[in-house]
Amino acid sequence: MEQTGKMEGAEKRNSLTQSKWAKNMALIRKDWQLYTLLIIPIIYLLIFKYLPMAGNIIAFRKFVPGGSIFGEEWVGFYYINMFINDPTFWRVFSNTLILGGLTLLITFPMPIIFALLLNEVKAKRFKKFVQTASYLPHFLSIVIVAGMVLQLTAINGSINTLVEFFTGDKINFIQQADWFRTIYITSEVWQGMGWGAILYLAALTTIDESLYEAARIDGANRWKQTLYITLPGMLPTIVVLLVLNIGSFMAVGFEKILLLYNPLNYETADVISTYLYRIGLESNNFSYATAIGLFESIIGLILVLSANFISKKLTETSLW
Amino acid sequence: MSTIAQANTKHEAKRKNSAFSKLGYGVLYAILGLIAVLQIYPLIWLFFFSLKDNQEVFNESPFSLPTDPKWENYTRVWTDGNIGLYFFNSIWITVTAVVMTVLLASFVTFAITRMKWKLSKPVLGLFMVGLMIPVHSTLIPLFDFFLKLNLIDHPLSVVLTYTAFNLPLTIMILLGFYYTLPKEVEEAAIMDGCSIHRLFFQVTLPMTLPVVSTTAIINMIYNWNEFVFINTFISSDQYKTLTVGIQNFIGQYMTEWGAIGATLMISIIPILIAFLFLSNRIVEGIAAGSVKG
Repeated sequence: MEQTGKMEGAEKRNSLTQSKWAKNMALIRKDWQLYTLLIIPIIYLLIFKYLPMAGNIIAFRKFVPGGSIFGEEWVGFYYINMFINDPTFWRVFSNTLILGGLTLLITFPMPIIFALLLNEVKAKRFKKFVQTASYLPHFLSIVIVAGMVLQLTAINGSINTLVEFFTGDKINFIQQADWFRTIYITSEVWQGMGWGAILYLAALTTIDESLYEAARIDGANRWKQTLYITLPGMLPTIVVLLVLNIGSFMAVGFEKILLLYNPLNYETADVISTYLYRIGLESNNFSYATAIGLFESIIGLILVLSANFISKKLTETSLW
Repeated sequence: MSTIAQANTKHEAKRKNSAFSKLGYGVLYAILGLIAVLQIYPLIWLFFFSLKDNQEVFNESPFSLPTDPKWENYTRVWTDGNIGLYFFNSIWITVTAVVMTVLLASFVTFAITRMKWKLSKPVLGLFMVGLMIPVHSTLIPLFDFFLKLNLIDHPLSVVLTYTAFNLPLTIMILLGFYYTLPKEVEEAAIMDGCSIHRLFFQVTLPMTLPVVSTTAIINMIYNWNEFVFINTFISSDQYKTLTVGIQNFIGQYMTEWGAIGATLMISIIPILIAFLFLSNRIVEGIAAGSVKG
């Protein structure tokens, strides 16, 4: 739509000022070297990131595998109505909100606290060691982490050996819906805390040392220095990351959940992204999956826009 | 008189304070030490685990050292499954995608930071917004797209996708470095009549090697670990990479715990090596990119 609009506009301008068009062409010819650098990456990005977004149109069109990627005929809100009346959709929707909310509540503050603690350490070697150790798990594949989690929590696994020792009973963690959120969040904290702290630690190094000196002369203790200098210094980074996190709230842990969940814990583990993966790629109902995906993206967009708006009002820092 | 008293109380307060802060530091170091151990311990556990057989796994404490290390777990999984083949696939797919990403991202960053043109801000925006497009919402359309091009179950589909998905982050990291790089050398080259392509390949690219290697490592790790795309696009065994291979393997050998541990270890080792040598680089790159950008 937009593209055709642009083209019409271009034609109109063309007929008005033919010379402007010629001038533009001359400019392009002059800078052809610039365009050779850009053309491949831009086409690339459009195909792989934005064309799929345009493909969202099949949420409103009937799609036949092997047919056009933009669908065959308009069906209006058929697929939208379908998910509104689908009880499974509402289950995965509330699971997404709960799991996303818990993740945000627990995994977001952890790196900040960790960075603040690490910032107090004066022994350089120790600091470096702790930091390096802390972000190592970030580089492990989801498959590895899921494999380790499954081993640790299995009925004969290591955690159960301990549980049995203390209580005499075994818990089948991965098959009980009640345990899924705990397992998921723990593994998220383990993997993400150190990595998340990198940006905060970088922000801490930019705080002017003389501020601390002045505060010390005024008799501020370490706690007060943290409260009045360090935290305000980190605030812009915190806000930007918070806005980004809220934006990805709905996309919570797709890969990890895909590898950790099973029909026995769907009740708490199944989220929107995994549900649409099953509908789309296992049942081949592309249109229905896309309709759900579109709904999810719109909520994500609304969340990130409002988070950005609120932070702009409150703290005068924002993503854009 | 009063000044002395004041000095005394001040002194007292200071002493109290220092005892307090000593205790505080002790607690702080203990907590951080504990965190470091918790972050590393699961890997050590996995290593011990990979050297045990079922008997040891079930009958002994999970913290125990393997009494009689079963190195044959490793040799067995390497020869039994297709782990060797998967390993090789992982390497070439990773390397191809990394080279393409870094080169294309350098093109874009060069054009954005070194040349003045009207659309440079919007184009940068286009790439940065790309960071926020979630993987699973592009998965189905891309699957369909590759189906059309007959690229499903062809390694090219994965290589192309990896390259595209890593472009935004790579550009973000490169930007920070390009902004701090002085322009004089390039200006001199232009004065001498160097073309833009020669300038890029012979002057700018060599100057940016430190940051290029940082982004290459980060890309390498992400590609090496990627699971969803390869699991969705590739179905035949001959093109599978380690992550998918291991996932299948875990399903297949669910009862042989030591063997599973060994496969997990095999796929972690390259990442560990890269990490041990280059972790500083990664952190500096990420930090520089974020502070500038």
